[in-house]
Amino acid sequence: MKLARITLIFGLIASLLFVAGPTFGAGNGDAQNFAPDRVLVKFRAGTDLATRQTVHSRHGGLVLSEIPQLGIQVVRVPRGEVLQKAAAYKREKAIEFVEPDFIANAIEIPSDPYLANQWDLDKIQAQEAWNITTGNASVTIAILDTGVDQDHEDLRDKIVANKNFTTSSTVDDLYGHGTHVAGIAAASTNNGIGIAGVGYNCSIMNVKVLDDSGSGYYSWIANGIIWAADNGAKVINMSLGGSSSSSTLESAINYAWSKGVVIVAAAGNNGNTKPVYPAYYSNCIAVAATDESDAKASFSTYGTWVDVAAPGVNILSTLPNHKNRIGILNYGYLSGTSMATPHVAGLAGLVWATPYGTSNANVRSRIESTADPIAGSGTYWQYGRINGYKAVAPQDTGEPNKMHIQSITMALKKTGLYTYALATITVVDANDKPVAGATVSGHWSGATTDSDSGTTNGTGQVTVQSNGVRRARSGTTFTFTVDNVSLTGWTYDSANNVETSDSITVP
Amino acid sequence: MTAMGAEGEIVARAKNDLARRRGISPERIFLRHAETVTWPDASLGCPLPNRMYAQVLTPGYRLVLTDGITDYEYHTDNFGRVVFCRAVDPSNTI
Repeated sequence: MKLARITLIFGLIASLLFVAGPTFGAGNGDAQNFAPDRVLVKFRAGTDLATRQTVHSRHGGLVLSEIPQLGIQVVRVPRGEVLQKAAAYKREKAIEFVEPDFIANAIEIPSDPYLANQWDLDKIQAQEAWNITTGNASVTIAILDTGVDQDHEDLRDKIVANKNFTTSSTVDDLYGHGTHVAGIAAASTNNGIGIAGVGYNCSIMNVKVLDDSGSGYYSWIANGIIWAADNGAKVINMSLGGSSSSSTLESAINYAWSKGVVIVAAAGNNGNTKPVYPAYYSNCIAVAATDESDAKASFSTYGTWVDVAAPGVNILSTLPNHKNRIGILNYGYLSGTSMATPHVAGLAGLVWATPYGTSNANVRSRIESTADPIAGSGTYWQYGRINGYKAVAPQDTGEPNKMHIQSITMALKKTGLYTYALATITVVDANDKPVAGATVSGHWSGATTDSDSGTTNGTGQVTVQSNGVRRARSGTTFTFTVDNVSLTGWTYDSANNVETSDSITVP
Repeated sequence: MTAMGAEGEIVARAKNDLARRRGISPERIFLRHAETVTWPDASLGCPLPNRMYAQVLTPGYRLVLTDGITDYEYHTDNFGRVVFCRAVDPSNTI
């Protein structure tokens, strides 16, 4: 049975839809999280009924209901044209804002019964990440290890390829290590069985490069790397390491990188800063281990050559359902940078399924740049402990810090023999939200010549008044031109102005 | 496996390995020391330079055997894997 906790994520989904650049699905990774035929519209205060009707008519909108306390109308638009219609409404001067009628998403907790024991997934915000993407089966994570249990209930449906480069007689996992690693990276998730894997829907490629005692020659590992890269792996996980550098191994790493593969490797369990290979190579993401308190695991290798950290102490995952050297059947807890590494590999699988997944460099950068800078970052590891949600969520584009002029509204005011012109300037940000506190300066031309400036109020508006013209005749024209808009921390994006100058003529 | 187990099956396996290496009877080999250890990886603390190892903490034992002349260090996991690590100077053994 699925459990669910309801979490409103309007803000998140809204930002997903309106940021520049990549667009994201959510929930199952593809579905749009808003009603397919409705938008929510708010007109500017004072907009009369006729204008409202004209706007709706122009865009084929039908008012279904209102939220009078908020002054918001629920408007039906042609099915499937929500985003186009929202954009069209936004261009109307009378509109304060318009947005899709978002679904308040439930963040589903996967049905895997042991999930409550997977502290590591909470720590990296895996469930929040899954609400944005659950990856897909076309993203294959190669597990270069001791093999993977071929008929484990929580893995068998995920294995898409097997290859053995060792002298072992089987691709199966007689040691137990590879099965544990594979489960962390991409166990079958939300299947009502066992554990959840970080990579959720990602597939597993079983590349056996360690023998049944957990060790392997460098040549086996180099062959495994090349084979995985040549056979469609998008991510290579190596929860293994050695103390000797090898040109053969580094060449294999560079080959896989050149084929677009994200390569993740364990930093090692030596508790010191000595390099461990292949993690030390620049084209590998080197992973240290942290505990439930976000502290460096005492055993973890560390140093500035290590890239990121991930949970690696008492990690619950799959173990073979047959005799193995770990000595536990089906599920169990293990510790090591071996366990930290597949968290990163699984996350890489998820990132590949987002619009950030355009290259291995981008995926790597995304994981590293969004890591939480926990204590020890910059010393024990460069970037921090990975954060799944932040890695797949859209980044702040910085667009809200740009402002432009949305409108200039002109009016005439007559006092005695004098006629004045009023110019009301509206300044908004990139999301068409009012910008308060901006200083607008400009000059008058035509009937008068002087300069004016003022500061926008809470609705982003400021009104400036021209000098008076005595006995202004019909045909007299006042023109106001904005010269600059300034506000600390903001950029005046004049190229995006709807208008920069406006005029009014005495009738 | 308990320490008694280490005294049993694992120690016997280590003794048999050393006897084979030394070309002597297992009865001439004695256990000088046994302690539980968590090894940092699948090398059980005795890595070979041309090999890579699974980076998982592995519980096991450190055994010191002697033939009366030289001490020999064996590392094990808890499930029967026994690795000859090195001959050691008896004056340095525990």
